[in-house]
Amino acid sequence: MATTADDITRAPARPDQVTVTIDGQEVACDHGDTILEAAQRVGIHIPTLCYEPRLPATAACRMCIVEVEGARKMLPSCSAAVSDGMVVRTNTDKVRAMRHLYLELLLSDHNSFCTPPCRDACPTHIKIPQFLDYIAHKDYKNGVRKLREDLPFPAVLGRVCPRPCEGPCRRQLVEHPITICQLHRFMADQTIDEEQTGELLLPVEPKPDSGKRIAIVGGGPAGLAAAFYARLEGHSVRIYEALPKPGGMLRYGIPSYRLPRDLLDKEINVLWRMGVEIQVNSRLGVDYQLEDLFDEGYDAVFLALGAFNSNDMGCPGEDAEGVTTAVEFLGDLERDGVVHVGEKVTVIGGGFTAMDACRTSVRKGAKEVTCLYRRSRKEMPAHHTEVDEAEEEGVKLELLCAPVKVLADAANKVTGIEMLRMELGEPDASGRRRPVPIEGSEFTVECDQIITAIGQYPKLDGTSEEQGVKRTKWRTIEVDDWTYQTDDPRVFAGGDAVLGAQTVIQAVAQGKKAAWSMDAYLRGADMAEVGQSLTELKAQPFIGALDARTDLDPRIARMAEIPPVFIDMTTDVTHPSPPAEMPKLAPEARKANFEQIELGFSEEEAVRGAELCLDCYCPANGKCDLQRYSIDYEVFKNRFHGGEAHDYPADFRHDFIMREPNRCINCGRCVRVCRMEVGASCYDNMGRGYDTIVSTADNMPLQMVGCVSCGKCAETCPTGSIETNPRLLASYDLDESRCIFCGECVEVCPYDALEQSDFFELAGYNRTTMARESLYVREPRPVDPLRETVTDLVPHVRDSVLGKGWTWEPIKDDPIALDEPEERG
Amino acid sequence: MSGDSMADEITQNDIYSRNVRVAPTPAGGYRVTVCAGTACVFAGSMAVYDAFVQEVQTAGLGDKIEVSIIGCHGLCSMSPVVVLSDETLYGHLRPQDVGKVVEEHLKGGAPVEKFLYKDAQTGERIRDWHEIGFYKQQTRVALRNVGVIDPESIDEYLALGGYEAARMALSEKTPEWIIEHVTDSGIRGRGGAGFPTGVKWKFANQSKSAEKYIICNADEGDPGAFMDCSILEGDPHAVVEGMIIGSYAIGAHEGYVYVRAEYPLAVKRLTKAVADAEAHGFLGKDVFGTGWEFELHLKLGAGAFVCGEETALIASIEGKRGMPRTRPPFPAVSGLWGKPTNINNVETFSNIPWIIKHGAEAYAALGVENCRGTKAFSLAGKVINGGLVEVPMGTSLRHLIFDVGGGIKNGRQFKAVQLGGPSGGCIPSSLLDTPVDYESLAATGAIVGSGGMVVVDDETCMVDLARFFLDFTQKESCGKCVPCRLGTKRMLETLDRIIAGDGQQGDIELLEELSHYIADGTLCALGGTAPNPVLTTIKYFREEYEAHVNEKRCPAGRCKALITYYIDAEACTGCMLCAKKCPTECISGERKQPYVIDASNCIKCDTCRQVCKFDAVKVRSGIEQAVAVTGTDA
Repeated sequence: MATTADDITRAPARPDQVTVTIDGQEVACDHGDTILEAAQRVGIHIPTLCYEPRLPATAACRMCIVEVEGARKMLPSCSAAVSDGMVVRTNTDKVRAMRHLYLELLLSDHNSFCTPPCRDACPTHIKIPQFLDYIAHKDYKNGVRKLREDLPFPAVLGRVCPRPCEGPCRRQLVEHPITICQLHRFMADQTIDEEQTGELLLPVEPKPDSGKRIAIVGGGPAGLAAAFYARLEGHSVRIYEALPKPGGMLRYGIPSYRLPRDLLDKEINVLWRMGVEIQVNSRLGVDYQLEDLFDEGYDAVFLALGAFNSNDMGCPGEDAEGVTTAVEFLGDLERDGVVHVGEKVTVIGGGFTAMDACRTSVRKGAKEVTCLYRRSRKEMPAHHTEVDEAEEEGVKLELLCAPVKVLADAANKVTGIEMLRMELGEPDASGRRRPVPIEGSEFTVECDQIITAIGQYPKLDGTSEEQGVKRTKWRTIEVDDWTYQTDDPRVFAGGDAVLGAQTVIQAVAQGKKAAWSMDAYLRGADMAEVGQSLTELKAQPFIGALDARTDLDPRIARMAEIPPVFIDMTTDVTHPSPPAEMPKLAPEARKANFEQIELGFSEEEAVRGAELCLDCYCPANGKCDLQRYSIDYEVFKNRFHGGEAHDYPADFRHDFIMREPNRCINCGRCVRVCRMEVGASCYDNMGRGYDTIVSTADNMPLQMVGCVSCGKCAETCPTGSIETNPRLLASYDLDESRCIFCGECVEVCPYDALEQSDFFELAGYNRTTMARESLYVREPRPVDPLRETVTDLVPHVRDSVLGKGWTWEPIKDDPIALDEPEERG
Repeated sequence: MSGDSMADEITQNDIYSRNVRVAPTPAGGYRVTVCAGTACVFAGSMAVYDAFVQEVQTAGLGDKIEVSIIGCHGLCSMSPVVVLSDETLYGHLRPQDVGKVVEEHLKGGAPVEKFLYKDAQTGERIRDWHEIGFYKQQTRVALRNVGVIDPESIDEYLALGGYEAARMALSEKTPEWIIEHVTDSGIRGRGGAGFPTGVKWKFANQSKSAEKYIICNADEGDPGAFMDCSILEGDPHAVVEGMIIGSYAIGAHEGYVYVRAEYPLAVKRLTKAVADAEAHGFLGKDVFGTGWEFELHLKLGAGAFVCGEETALIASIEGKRGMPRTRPPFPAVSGLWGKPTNINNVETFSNIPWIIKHGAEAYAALGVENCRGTKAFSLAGKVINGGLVEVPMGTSLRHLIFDVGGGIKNGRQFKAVQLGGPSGGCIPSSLLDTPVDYESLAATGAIVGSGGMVVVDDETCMVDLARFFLDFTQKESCGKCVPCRLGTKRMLETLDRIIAGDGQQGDIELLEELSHYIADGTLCALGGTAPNPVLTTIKYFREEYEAHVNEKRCPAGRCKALITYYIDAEACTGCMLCAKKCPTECISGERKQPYVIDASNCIKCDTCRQVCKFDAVKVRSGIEQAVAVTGTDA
């Protein structure tokens, strides 16, 4: 760029020009220029929604209003022309207040949401509304594909996930959250058996072999997820698992009544079928060393060692016989099939592991199981349903107490435990109220077995600081926040080994992102730069971050974390209809065995449950001007929330142009572009007053009002009201060697795109060459992974475009033998 | 479309086509003119007309008495009105009364007392309508022929000097002379904004273009305004003549009258007027034989209020959705079909021939500094003499309402007057001495507007009044710009909330913020003035809003959610009338004993209060209501 904004500002006005002052800057401009144009020239940004540079201004949105000295009213800068000596202020308090009010008004009738809170809350950011939509349409295969873009194990996580997504679900505005977790369990259950031998339901076809090799140490959720995503990127992956079977804590920490082992095996089998190798009974530091992996030719190593060491109670007598950790207790049971269970069992802790230990003890015949936890029930880290179910099964909860001393008899066998009563004090860093001991409130609980479940930490045997694998003060591996690299650039780490003992879904999220990071590393990215750019991205405000993300390589951009901003809009959420409760085994029927407790939804229940999703996401999220300005002007609280809002049906009748009038702000850009640029005049404002809405004549489908499918309306739309489906094929060729001239295609084409022509013989004379070229269907254009499209909502388009997207194959054998004409006969 | 075909079309199924002369040349007898303004037609004046024709024939006076119709005579509160050629005015005539009038007055020569105007103050019957205060105080320029001539007769218009001004202007004067004259007269646009007409014409005249257009804005749409309607119905030729003069002044060879289809009578008479003028050579290729070419078309609007805004009106004539656009370019530069266009209001055009004929000085002598001439108003609401009035600019509101209008009906108190329809504002009694001119009224927060004037008494809730007008503008918003489409809706919701007793602290301030930011930010005047009723009612009656919000009390006792009806036992005579009329039968009692209203079944329809002759039905609101309820419980 030769001229900068400064140059223009400094340039004196030519005699035929006028000078105006905008926000204190003198600007020379031509007669007839608008204030907006003049401001843009010196880099002053004035917000606009209805302004379309190619067309005359319409001044409908009133966002571009500015104060002009001497004018009675605010002037719309998009249409007000400059005059000599004009003094313009674009950003005064009053102007901002008015724009704020107008945005509030727009949002008060914007029956849509930008971004779903569930997806933000999910550590691995599953595209929840999208996969629910597949369930609602009973399209489970594509639903699983969609889900696996972020979560490889829907059946497993559908059983063991603590469901952070359900907490903020907007369905709660009217009733209960959607049962997201159980719904993806249902979906995966429908497809998992077929997938064992049939078609793999992968989000994308695995990339061609990259020639790079990745060793993953640890076959738990993080390692398995990393293997899945690394394999999709085309790397060859081998998992080294220390225990006899892969699965890590999924297998050796979670009892089978929560996660049946056959399901776990089936989901791991998907990995096998994808070509991931798994070597079991190989322990790092015992059977091999880290260096051995590089010697064997691995290009990168992912340490997903888990957190298999248990925290001590830190009280006297812990070494007594009968004191065991939950990890050992549950692991032994899984490995050996038997485990010692006392008559009276005491479990210390309030998390998932503690509940698992309690309930396993019940199942293994303990007469009395008591769970001791130092805070109140509300603070228990286990999901409340787990606690409820444990109680149903007879587990006794003893809250607000901490162990003081393990009591043992002469043979050092446990006889009980001395506890101290606690009360809740001030909240600590985690937001939970800190337990404070009550002096002199000691009491004793008699028992013959104590199982401790008070947290785990990683067992990092086989790695050392010298190898570049540094430790944090929490005894976890220190990695880069974004790249998951240790000090040795070839060594990556994730999962519980980095997080400390956390949830499965967090481990999966880390595995996924580490796989992407390893992919970037293996393909030669400068990892320092990657980390730097992602850090900068996060520091930016939401819209800026989204803009910056589009500038990044998509492979790196997908590793970015951009917390969304939630804007307050009025939405019409009606028709309460609580989701179905998943049926369970009765406590009596389940407490003596390891049968799966949750029985699963019927199809009817699942479809209805998925249909309740408000689809509170928008394909224009991050690209929407209304959202951008709402964030700029901080319209997070809407005074008109609760006023009347329109609820228009979405119009997906046209195959290419998707209309969602609830997101329409009546800016009229599509109306004018279609009329003035395209000449089709498909749209106009309909209705009067508050009910004015841009629509087609009589709300007819676009294909019936002269639409030429050019997509310019979608291009100009400042919100997500008009979106286009991706058009995968640029054009279709007629294979004239096979055409029998029946004319059926001409008949059925809904868009009248085909017609008879006289040029057949001239155009298609050389049949062989024509045919050979056109027998190959073109490669589908890749779908931008960062941009969800409305396609996700439309079953029939989805089927034809995405569903079969990568099953299309070039036709290899010509069905008709096509010889060179002269050789024939 | 040609004027003729339209006239045919309308005549075919037109209930008003009764312009039959009984005797074209009455031989020294009376002339009976029956008012055929909209109000009188709806009050049954056509049946009265038929009755007169019938009775006159029966009485054998057919050759002596001419029965004809006139445009709106003005005193709509007396409708149907009949005026005799001896200046007698009869009001509230029913067909069955006509025989008596013919017998006693036309035959016997003695006016029938009981149908004469009765002065509310003195109780005196007034025969000569010129003596009625309502007429005595008026100065009629724009309305000079309205109610005087038969609007469907070009001959009557010509007889009173019609088309002389246009003939003179076109044959003897230059366009510049006309523009100068109109400028000197000081007339300002009567459509509401008050832009000097001469200046407007000058702009249009100076725009260089082979094609120009002149448009008459007859899209009068605000509730309570009927001046333009009355002029078109009562004197359509004045408008046609004004437009001929205007076309010559600005150089337009084509003109449109944009009139709403909801004015069928005006459309019919205007169509006939245009056809008659064409037949006389006053329109067409060779106007008055001067070689001037001027075609006049009618364009029927579908009744969108916003089409009264000039750019929306132009869009509507062009066949587009009636939506305003930004100005500049002003229509004088780029208007209809992109050509220079001049738009004036009906009343403005009807003043023009008078100005040309009587001279600019004569017009400028009327009115006050900066606001010359007269202004027609439609006086409606709770005044005794409602109807069409025309007074010099600068007349005080008090004079208009109490002298012309005759004061407030039913002996109630004046509370406020809403000026300028939904775009205007209300003016309280403390400002009654405000002179009616553009600047003085603007200073109060109201506007002259097109001239609608709705008078309200102390039984009117000002919040409800503001809500009524805002509801109108909200529904009539074209939906183009955000503050108008959505802002007025949220204002309306806030008002609804206040009226329903759910007003919250801060609602009044929210209304004020919305009002200011809507007024400042909208595209056109519809949105820009829409908050005026709310702003002015808050300004002058804030305590009423506060009573609604803070005490959940409606001081005027009108807002249904905030009131309960009860019968004052001392005033009730037990006449049973209210009980008989009550639609839900929730009033009960013993004859001659005080009656009681069962509040649980009361739907607050107000029927009982309206029918009670003893003012015994009362309402409680706010704390009073709560106390009464608790009292009953205890």
